[in-house]
Amino acid sequence: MLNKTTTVYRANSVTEIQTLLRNISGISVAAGCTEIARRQTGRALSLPTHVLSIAGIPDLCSVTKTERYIDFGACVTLASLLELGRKNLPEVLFDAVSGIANPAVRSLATLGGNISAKGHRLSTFAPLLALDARLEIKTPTDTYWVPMTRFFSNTGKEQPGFPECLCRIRVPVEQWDIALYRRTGKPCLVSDTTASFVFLVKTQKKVLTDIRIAWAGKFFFRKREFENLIIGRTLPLSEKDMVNLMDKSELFFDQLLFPESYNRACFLNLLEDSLRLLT
Amino acid sequence: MIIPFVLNGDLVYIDANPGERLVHILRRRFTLLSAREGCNSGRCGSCMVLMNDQPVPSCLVPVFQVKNNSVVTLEHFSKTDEYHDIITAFEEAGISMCGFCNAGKIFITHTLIRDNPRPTNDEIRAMFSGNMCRCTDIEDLINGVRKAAARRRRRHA
Repeated sequence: MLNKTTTVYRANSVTEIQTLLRNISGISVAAGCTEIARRQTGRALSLPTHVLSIAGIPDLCSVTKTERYIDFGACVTLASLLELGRKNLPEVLFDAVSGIANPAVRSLATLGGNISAKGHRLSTFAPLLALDARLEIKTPTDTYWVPMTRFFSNTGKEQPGFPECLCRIRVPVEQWDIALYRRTGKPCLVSDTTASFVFLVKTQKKVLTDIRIAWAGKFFFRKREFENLIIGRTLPLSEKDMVNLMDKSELFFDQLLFPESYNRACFLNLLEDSLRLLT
Repeated sequence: MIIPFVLNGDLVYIDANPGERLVHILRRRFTLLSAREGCNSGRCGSCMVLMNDQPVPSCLVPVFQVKNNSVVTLEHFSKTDEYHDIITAFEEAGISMCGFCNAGKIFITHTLIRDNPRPTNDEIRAMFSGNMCRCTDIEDLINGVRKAAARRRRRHA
C-alpha cells in the first residue's frame, strides 16, 4: 500500500545526521534498503513516515585499517568489502559476506544494514560478534562506542527511548590459527533455519590461548563461560576431553537458548565438528 | 517527492512516492520495458539496470535512492558497441534470448568482462548466481561470456 506521507531526508555528513535526529521525531534510518525491499512484496514499499537516508555519506562509506583495528563505515557495501580481498579482512567476515545473496544485491546492501536487520540476525552478525566488534553510535547530542552484545538484544527490542544511528563498526586486527564460518539453511536465502556459526582459535606453543564461539540466527549468543572452559588446554585435545566438552555443551547450550530443536542440533553438530579440529 | 536523476543519459525529474520500486517507475512512467518485474526480491535478475555503472536489481531500489544517481536501462545500452559484442557472442554460443532475463544476462556479462577481461568459469558462475535463466544452460552462458570477453579484448587491442 502506498504511504503518501513518507518524507525522505538526505544527510550529507555525520553532523547532519545528528541534526536531523535531533529535529525530527520518529525518524528511521535507511541506507541500502535491501532488507526493507526483501521483506515486502508489493509494488511500492511501505516506509516509515520520516526516513533519514544516509547512503552516500563519504565518512560512512570508507574503510580504515590501522595496526590494531579495522574501522568499517556503516554504509560500506558488501561488494566493496569483497573488493578489499581476503587478505585485508578478517577471514570469517570475508567468508560470511561472500555467501550473502548475489553480486548485484551485494552492490546495494550495506554492512550496517546487515547487522541491524531486525527479527533475524543476518550473515555478518556472528563473525562480528566473535571478533568482539564495537559499534559507534550517534545520538542527537552524543557519540558513544558500545560492544555488539550491549547494543543488540535477543528480545528483538533494540535500544529504545531515543533515536540513534549506527555509524562505524570497529573490528580488532588479530591473527587466528583456526577461523571457521558456517551457515545453515538454504544458500542465499533467509528462512527460519538460517543461522551463522563462527569458531575462532588462537594457540601458542600447543596451548589454546583464545577461543570464540558465536551463533546468530533468530537468536544470537556467545557463551564466555564455555569458552573459558576450553582456554588453557594443551593441544591436541584427547578423546576424553572431547566427550567431556560435548557433555558440558549440552548443559551450556540448553533448550532455553534455542526456540527450535533443529537449530540446537545444527549448533551442537557444528561445535563438535569444530572441536574435532583441535584433536 | 520530486526526484532528479540521470536516466539513459538525460536528466529527468519525477514526482513519485519515495517507496515505489524503481522497476515500477521505469516501466510505468518511462515505458522502459526491458526491466521486468519478476521476483521482487533481487533473485531473478529480470529487472537489472546499471546504477552508477553497477548492475543492480531495480526491484530492490526504492525510487528515492536514485536521487542524483545515473540509471541505464537495456534500451539505451543496446545502442553501444559493448552490447553488440555481447549479443553477437551469445548468438555464436547458441544462447537463447527469450527476453525475460535479457537485462540480467547482458548487464552481468558487461560488468564482469569490463572489470575482469579474462574471467574464470567459477567467477562467471558466481556472477550469474543472481540471474535465473530457464532457457539457457550455465555451460552455454560460460561459453558465451568467454566469447564476449574475447570480442571485447580484440576490439580494445
